Amino acid sequence: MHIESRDGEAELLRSLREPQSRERAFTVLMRTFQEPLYAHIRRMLGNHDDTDDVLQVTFIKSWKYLDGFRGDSKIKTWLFKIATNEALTHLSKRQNQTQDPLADIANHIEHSHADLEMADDGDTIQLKLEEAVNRLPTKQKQVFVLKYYDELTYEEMADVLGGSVGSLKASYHHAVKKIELFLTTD
Amino acid sequence: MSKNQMDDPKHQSSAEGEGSGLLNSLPRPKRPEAPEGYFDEFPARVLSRLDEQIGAPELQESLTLRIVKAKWVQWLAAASVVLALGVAGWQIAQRAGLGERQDGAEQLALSSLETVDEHQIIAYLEHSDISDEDLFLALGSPKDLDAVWEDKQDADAAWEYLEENGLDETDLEGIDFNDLEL
Repeated sequence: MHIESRDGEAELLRSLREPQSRERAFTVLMRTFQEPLYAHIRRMLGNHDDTDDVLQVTFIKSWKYLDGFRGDSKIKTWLFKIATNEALTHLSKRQNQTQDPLADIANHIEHSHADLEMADDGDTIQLKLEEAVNRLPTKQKQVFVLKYYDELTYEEMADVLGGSVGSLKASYHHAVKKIELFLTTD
Repeated sequence: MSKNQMDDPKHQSSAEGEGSGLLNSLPRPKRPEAPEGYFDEFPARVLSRLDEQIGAPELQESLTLRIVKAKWVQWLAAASVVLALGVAGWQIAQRAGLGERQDGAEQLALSSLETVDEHQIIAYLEHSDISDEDLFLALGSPKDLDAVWEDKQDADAAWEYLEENGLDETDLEGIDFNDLEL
Protein backbone atom coordinates (compact mmCIF):
# COMPACT_ATOMS: atom_id res chain seq x y z
CA MET A 1 0.00 0.00 0.00
CA HIS A 2 1.53 3.32 -1.08
CA ILE A 3 -0.13 5.47 1.50
CA GLU A 4 1.21 8.85 0.49
CA SER A 5 -1.08 8.89 -2.54
CA ARG A 6 -4.64 10.16 -2.00
CA ASP A 7 -6.19 6.73 -2.63
CA GLY A 8 -3.60 5.00 -0.50
CA GLU A 9 -4.22 7.35 2.40
CA ALA A 10 -8.00 6.88 2.17
CA GLU A 11 -7.56 3.11 2.15
CA LEU A 12 -5.24 3.29 5.15
CA LEU A 13 -7.72 5.42 7.07
CA ARG A 14 -10.48 2.90 6.36
CA SER A 15 -8.27 0.10 7.63
CA LEU A 16 -7.32 2.11 10.72
CA ARG A 17 -10.99 2.55 11.57
CA GLU A 18 -11.82 -1.14 11.28
CA PRO A 19 -11.05 -2.97 14.54
CA GLN A 20 -10.04 -6.13 12.66
CA SER A 21 -7.44 -4.41 10.47
CA ARG A 22 -6.45 -1.60 12.78
CA GLU A 23 -3.26 -3.04 14.22
CA ARG A 24 -1.92 -4.14 10.84
CA ALA A 25 -2.71 -0.75 9.29
CA PHE A 26 -1.09 1.04 12.20
CA THR A 27 2.07 -0.97 11.68
CA VAL A 28 2.07 0.12 8.02
CA LEU A 29 1.62 3.72 9.19
CA MET A 30 4.59 3.45 11.54
CA ARG A 31 6.82 1.81 8.94
CA THR A 32 5.99 4.57 6.46
CA PHE A 33 6.56 7.58 8.69
CA GLN A 34 8.97 6.47 11.40
CA GLU A 35 12.12 7.54 9.53
CA PRO A 36 11.06 11.05 8.43
CA LEU A 37 9.55 11.68 11.86
CA TYR A 38 12.68 10.40 13.57
CA ALA A 39 14.81 12.78 11.50
CA HIS A 40 12.47 15.68 12.22
CA ILE A 41 12.45 15.08 15.98
CA ARG A 42 16.17 14.34 16.10
CA ARG A 43 16.95 17.68 14.47
CA MET A 44 14.87 19.40 17.11
CA LEU A 45 16.19 17.47 20.13
CA GLY A 46 19.71 16.59 19.06
CA ASN A 47 20.13 13.10 20.57
CA HIS A 48 18.83 9.61 19.93
CA ASP A 49 17.41 8.75 23.38
CA ASP A 50 15.16 11.78 23.61
CA THR A 51 14.17 11.30 19.98
CA ASP A 52 13.22 7.70 20.64
CA ASP A 53 11.00 8.71 23.59
CA VAL A 54 9.26 11.45 21.65
CA LEU A 55 8.78 9.30 18.54
CA GLN A 56 7.12 6.58 20.62
CA VAL A 57 4.86 9.13 22.31
CA THR A 58 3.99 10.57 18.89
CA PHE A 59 2.72 7.23 17.60
CA ILE A 60 1.00 6.32 20.87
CA LYS A 61 -0.88 9.61 20.82
CA SER A 62 -1.76 9.18 17.16
CA TRP A 63 -3.27 5.76 18.01
CA LYS A 64 -5.30 7.26 20.83
CA TYR A 65 -6.52 10.21 18.78
CA LEU A 66 -7.26 8.28 15.59
CA ASP A 67 -11.00 8.46 16.26
CA GLY A 68 -10.76 12.23 16.27
CA PHE A 69 -8.78 12.48 13.04
CA ARG A 70 -11.29 13.62 10.45
CA GLY A 71 -8.99 13.54 7.45
CA ASP A 72 -9.12 17.30 6.87
CA SER A 73 -5.34 17.29 6.59
CA LYS A 74 -3.00 14.57 5.36
CA ILE A 75 -1.93 11.87 7.79
CA LYS A 76 1.65 12.94 7.22
CA THR A 77 1.09 16.53 8.34
CA TRP A 78 -1.09 15.37 11.24
CA LEU A 79 1.77 13.17 12.46
CA PHE A 80 4.32 15.95 11.97
CA LYS A 81 2.12 18.26 14.02
CA ILE A 82 1.92 15.78 16.90
CA ALA A 83 5.67 15.16 16.68
CA THR A 84 6.50 18.87 16.62
CA ASN A 85 4.29 19.60 19.62
CA GLU A 86 5.72 16.67 21.55
CA ALA A 87 9.28 17.71 20.72
CA LEU A 88 8.59 21.27 21.86
CA THR A 89 7.03 19.99 25.08
CA HIS A 90 10.07 17.80 25.62
CA LEU A 91 12.42 20.73 24.98
CA SER A 92 10.48 22.87 27.42
CA LYS A 93 10.68 20.18 30.13
CA ARG A 94 14.37 19.71 29.47
CA GLN A 95 15.04 23.41 29.77
CA ASN A 96 13.02 23.60 33.00
CA GLN A 97 15.15 20.82 34.45
CA THR A 98 18.33 22.70 33.53
CA GLN A 99 19.37 25.52 35.86
CA ASP A 100 20.39 27.71 32.97
CA PRO A 101 17.87 27.53 30.11
CA LEU A 102 20.55 28.42 27.57
CA ALA A 103 22.93 25.75 28.83
CA ASP A 104 21.25 23.09 26.73
CA ILE A 105 21.70 25.07 23.53
CA ALA A 106 25.27 25.98 24.49
CA ASN A 107 26.00 22.33 25.15
CA HIS A 108 24.59 21.40 21.76
CA ILE A 109 26.74 24.02 20.02
CA GLU A 110 29.80 22.92 21.95
CA HIS A 111 29.25 19.38 20.70
CA SER A 112 28.88 20.71 17.17
CA HIS A 113 32.27 22.41 17.46
CA ALA A 114 33.83 19.18 18.71
CA ASP A 115 32.27 17.29 15.80
CA LEU A 116 33.46 20.00 13.46
CA GLU A 117 37.07 19.40 14.33
CA MET A 118 36.78 15.70 13.48
CA ALA A 119 34.66 16.06 10.35
CA ASP A 120 35.76 16.11 6.70
CA ASP A 121 34.85 18.99 4.38
CA GLY A 122 31.40 17.62 3.43
CA ASP A 123 30.45 17.01 7.01
CA THR A 124 31.96 20.31 8.11
CA ILE A 125 29.56 22.39 6.11
CA GLN A 126 26.61 20.32 7.33
CA LEU A 127 27.67 20.72 10.94
CA LYS A 128 28.13 24.44 10.42
CA LEU A 129 24.67 24.55 8.88
CA GLU A 130 23.29 22.69 11.88
CA GLU A 131 24.91 25.19 14.21
CA ALA A 132 23.43 28.08 12.24
CA VAL A 133 19.99 26.47 12.42
CA ASN A 134 20.29 26.03 16.18
CA ARG A 135 20.93 29.76 16.54
CA LEU A 136 17.66 30.68 14.81
CA PRO A 137 14.62 31.88 16.81
CA THR A 138 12.23 29.00 17.51
CA LYS A 139 9.61 29.85 14.90
CA GLN A 140 12.16 30.36 12.10
CA LYS A 141 13.95 27.20 13.15
CA GLN A 142 10.74 25.17 12.94
CA VAL A 143 9.92 26.60 9.53
CA PHE A 144 13.43 26.03 8.21
CA VAL A 145 13.63 22.45 9.48
CA LEU A 146 10.26 21.51 8.02
CA LYS A 147 11.07 23.09 4.64
CA TYR A 148 14.73 22.43 4.13
CA TYR A 149 15.25 19.09 5.88
CA ASP A 150 11.78 17.53 5.95
CA GLU A 151 10.85 18.93 2.52
CA LEU A 152 7.26 19.75 3.40
CA THR A 153 5.36 22.10 1.11
CA TYR A 154 4.24 25.44 2.49
CA GLU A 155 0.66 24.16 2.53
CA GLU A 156 1.72 21.16 4.59
CA MET A 157 3.72 23.41 6.89
CA ALA A 158 0.64 25.59 7.40
CA ASP A 159 -1.21 22.45 8.57
CA VAL A 160 1.59 21.58 10.98
CA LEU A 161 2.46 24.99 12.38
CA GLY A 162 -0.63 27.04 11.64
CA GLY A 163 -0.44 30.48 10.08
CA SER A 164 -0.64 31.52 6.45
CA VAL A 165 1.52 30.32 3.58
CA GLY A 166 2.71 33.91 3.08
CA SER A 167 3.96 34.29 6.65
CA LEU A 168 5.69 30.91 6.44
CA LYS A 169 7.46 31.97 3.23
CA ALA A 170 8.62 35.15 4.94
CA SER A 171 9.88 33.21 7.99
CA TYR A 172 11.76 30.79 5.76
CA HIS A 173 13.31 33.64 3.79
CA HIS A 174 14.53 35.34 6.98
CA ALA A 175 15.92 32.05 8.25
CA VAL A 176 17.80 31.40 5.01
CA LYS A 177 19.32 34.88 4.99
CA LYS A 178 20.58 34.49 8.56
CA ILE A 179 22.01 31.05 7.84
CA GLU A 180 23.79 32.21 4.69
CA LEU A 181 25.24 35.15 6.57
CA PHE A 182 26.46 32.82 9.29
CA LEU A 183 28.03 30.39 6.80
CA THR A 184 29.86 33.11 4.85
CA THR A 185 31.09 35.27 7.72
CA ASP A 186 31.89 32.86 10.55
CA MET B 1 27.15 36.14 13.40
CA SER B 2 26.08 35.86 17.03
CA LYS B 3 22.72 34.66 18.31
CA ASN B 4 21.84 38.26 19.13
CA GLN B 5 22.63 39.34 15.63
CA MET B 6 20.41 36.59 14.24
CA ASP B 7 17.49 37.74 16.38
CA ASP B 8 18.08 41.38 15.45
CA PRO B 9 15.58 42.67 12.89
CA LYS B 10 18.35 44.75 11.29
CA HIS B 11 19.87 41.50 10.12
CA GLN B 12 16.59 40.30 8.62
CA SER B 13 15.69 40.93 5.02
CA SER B 14 12.22 42.28 4.38
CA ALA B 15 11.91 40.46 1.09
CA GLU B 16 9.72 37.36 0.86
CA GLY B 17 10.41 34.16 -0.98
CA GLU B 18 13.02 31.45 -0.70
CA GLY B 19 16.14 33.22 -2.05
CA SER B 20 18.58 30.49 -1.00
CA GLY B 21 21.42 30.56 -3.52
CA LEU B 22 24.11 29.37 -1.15
CA LEU B 23 21.94 26.72 0.44
CA ASN B 24 20.92 25.39 -2.96
CA SER B 25 24.55 24.92 -3.85
CA LEU B 26 25.12 22.74 -0.78
CA PRO B 27 24.78 18.95 -1.02
CA ARG B 28 21.48 17.69 0.35
CA PRO B 29 21.79 17.09 4.09
CA LYS B 30 21.95 13.52 5.31
CA ARG B 31 19.19 12.28 7.54
CA PRO B 32 20.26 11.82 11.15
CA GLU B 33 21.17 8.19 11.61
CA ALA B 34 19.49 5.92 14.14
CA PRO B 35 21.26 2.91 15.67
CA GLU B 36 21.31 -0.15 13.43
CA GLY B 37 18.09 -2.18 13.52
CA TYR B 38 16.23 0.59 15.34
CA PHE B 39 13.52 1.01 12.69
CA ASP B 40 13.03 -2.76 12.34
CA GLU B 41 12.12 -3.07 16.00
CA PHE B 42 10.39 0.23 16.51
CA PRO B 43 6.78 -0.70 15.49
CA ALA B 44 6.78 -3.76 17.76
CA ARG B 45 8.02 -1.65 20.68
CA VAL B 46 5.22 0.86 20.19
CA LEU B 47 2.59 -1.87 19.92
CA SER B 48 3.98 -3.44 23.06
CA ARG B 49 3.69 -0.14 24.93
CA LEU B 50 0.15 0.31 23.68
CA ASP B 51 -0.64 -3.19 24.85
CA GLU B 52 0.70 -2.39 28.33
CA GLN B 53 -1.08 0.91 28.58
CA ILE B 54 -4.52 0.20 27.17
CA GLY B 55 -4.95 -3.52 26.71
CA ALA B 56 -4.64 -5.65 23.63
CA PRO B 57 -4.37 -3.38 20.59
CA GLU B 58 -6.98 -5.28 18.61
CA LEU B 59 -9.43 -4.88 21.48
CA GLN B 60 -8.46 -1.31 22.08
CA GLU B 61 -10.42 1.13 20.12
CA SER B 62 -10.72 3.35 23.11
CA LEU B 63 -13.62 1.14 24.15
CA THR B 64 -14.70 3.28 27.09
CA LEU B 65 -14.52 6.39 24.97
CA ARG B 66 -16.61 4.78 22.24
CA ILE B 67 -19.25 3.63 24.70
CA VAL B 68 -19.46 7.07 26.23
CA LYS B 69 -19.61 8.65 22.80
CA ALA B 70 -22.27 6.22 21.50
CA LYS B 71 -25.54 7.94 20.63
CA TRP B 72 -27.69 5.26 22.23
CA VAL B 73 -25.90 5.73 25.55
CA GLN B 74 -26.49 9.46 25.37
CA TRP B 75 -30.19 8.90 24.63
CA LEU B 76 -30.43 6.32 27.42
CA ALA B 77 -28.83 8.75 29.87
CA ALA B 78 -31.26 11.49 28.85
CA ALA B 79 -34.26 9.12 29.16
CA SER B 80 -33.07 8.01 32.61
CA VAL B 81 -32.93 11.59 33.80
CA VAL B 82 -36.43 12.29 32.46
CA LEU B 83 -37.75 9.12 34.12
CA ALA B 84 -36.11 9.95 37.44
CA LEU B 85 -37.56 13.47 37.35
CA GLY B 86 -41.01 12.05 36.51
CA VAL B 87 -40.93 9.60 39.43
CA ALA B 88 -39.73 12.29 41.81
CA GLY B 89 -42.49 14.63 40.63
CA TRP B 90 -45.14 11.94 41.05
CA GLN B 91 -43.96 11.16 44.57
CA ILE B 92 -44.05 14.82 45.52
CA ALA B 93 -47.58 15.10 44.14
CA GLN B 94 -48.64 12.01 46.10
CA ARG B 95 -47.16 13.37 49.32
CA ALA B 96 -48.85 16.70 48.75
CA GLY B 97 -52.21 14.90 48.75
CA LEU B 98 -52.96 15.39 45.11
CA GLY B 99 -55.16 12.68 43.65
CA GLU B 100 -57.63 10.63 45.59
CA ARG B 101 -56.50 7.21 44.64
CA GLN B 102 -56.40 4.67 47.38
CA ASP B 103 -53.10 3.19 48.22
CA GLY B 104 -52.08 -0.30 47.15
CA ALA B 105 -53.08 -2.01 50.43
CA GLU B 106 -56.56 -0.60 50.34
CA GLN B 107 -57.05 -1.60 46.75
CA LEU B 108 -55.83 -5.07 47.49
CA ALA B 109 -58.20 -5.44 50.45
CA LEU B 110 -61.19 -4.31 48.45
CA SER B 111 -60.40 -6.49 45.50
CA SER B 112 -59.94 -9.45 47.84
CA LEU B 113 -63.28 -8.81 49.50
CA GLU B 114 -64.97 -8.66 46.15
CA THR B 115 -64.05 -12.26 45.52
CA VAL B 116 -65.77 -13.45 48.72
CA ASP B 117 -69.48 -14.00 48.91
CA GLU B 118 -71.20 -11.11 50.66
CA HIS B 119 -73.12 -13.37 53.06
CA GLN B 120 -70.01 -15.09 54.15
CA ILE B 121 -68.47 -11.73 54.96
CA ILE B 122 -71.47 -10.71 57.01
CA ALA B 123 -71.53 -14.03 58.85
CA TYR B 124 -67.83 -13.71 59.54
CA LEU B 125 -68.25 -10.20 60.92
CA GLU B 126 -71.05 -11.27 63.22
CA HIS B 127 -69.24 -14.37 64.36
CA SER B 128 -66.02 -12.42 64.99
CA ASP B 129 -67.83 -9.52 66.61
CA ILE B 130 -66.25 -7.05 64.23
CA SER B 131 -67.97 -3.71 64.33
CA ASP B 132 -68.90 -1.51 61.44
CA GLU B 133 -66.23 0.87 62.59
CA ASP B 134 -63.61 -1.85 62.35
CA LEU B 135 -64.76 -2.59 58.88
CA PHE B 136 -64.66 1.09 58.04
CA LEU B 137 -61.08 1.29 59.23
CA ALA B 138 -60.20 -1.79 57.25
CA LEU B 139 -61.74 -0.50 54.05
CA GLY B 140 -61.24 3.16 54.59
CA SER B 141 -64.17 4.36 52.52
CA PRO B 142 -67.67 5.36 53.70
CA LYS B 143 -68.98 4.36 50.30
CA ASP B 144 -67.65 0.84 50.80
CA LEU B 145 -69.09 0.74 54.31
CA ASP B 146 -72.52 1.71 53.02
CA ALA B 147 -72.43 -1.15 50.58
CA VAL B 148 -71.54 -3.59 53.33
CA TRP B 149 -74.12 -2.10 55.63
CA GLU B 150 -76.88 -2.54 53.09
CA ASP B 151 -75.88 -6.14 52.63
CA LYS B 152 -75.91 -6.63 56.39
CA GLN B 153 -79.44 -5.22 56.59
CA ASP B 154 -80.53 -7.60 53.89
CA ALA B 155 -78.92 -10.47 55.74
CA ASP B 156 -80.70 -9.56 59.00
CA ALA B 157 -83.97 -9.49 57.15
CA ALA B 158 -83.12 -12.83 55.62
CA TRP B 159 -82.55 -14.39 59.07
CA GLU B 160 -85.85 -13.04 60.27
CA TYR B 161 -87.52 -14.51 57.25
CA LEU B 162 -86.01 -17.91 57.94
CA GLU B 163 -87.06 -17.85 61.56
CA GLU B 164 -90.59 -16.75 60.77
CA ASN B 165 -91.03 -19.46 58.22
CA GLY B 166 -89.25 -22.16 60.19
CA LEU B 167 -86.70 -22.65 57.52
CA ASP B 168 -83.12 -23.81 57.85
CA GLU B 169 -80.14 -21.89 56.49
CA THR B 170 -79.49 -24.63 54.00
CA ASP B 171 -82.91 -24.05 52.52
CA LEU B 172 -81.60 -20.75 51.19
CA GLU B 173 -79.34 -22.47 48.69
CA GLY B 174 -80.41 -21.68 45.15
CA ILE B 175 -82.75 -18.92 46.27
CA ASP B 176 -82.36 -15.54 44.65
CA PHE B 177 -82.66 -12.99 47.44
CA ASN B 178 -83.78 -10.35 44.99
CA ASP B 179 -86.99 -12.33 44.47
CA LEU B 180 -87.81 -12.50 48.14
CA GLU B 181 -90.10 -10.01 49.72
CA LEU B 182 -88.18 -9.17 52.83
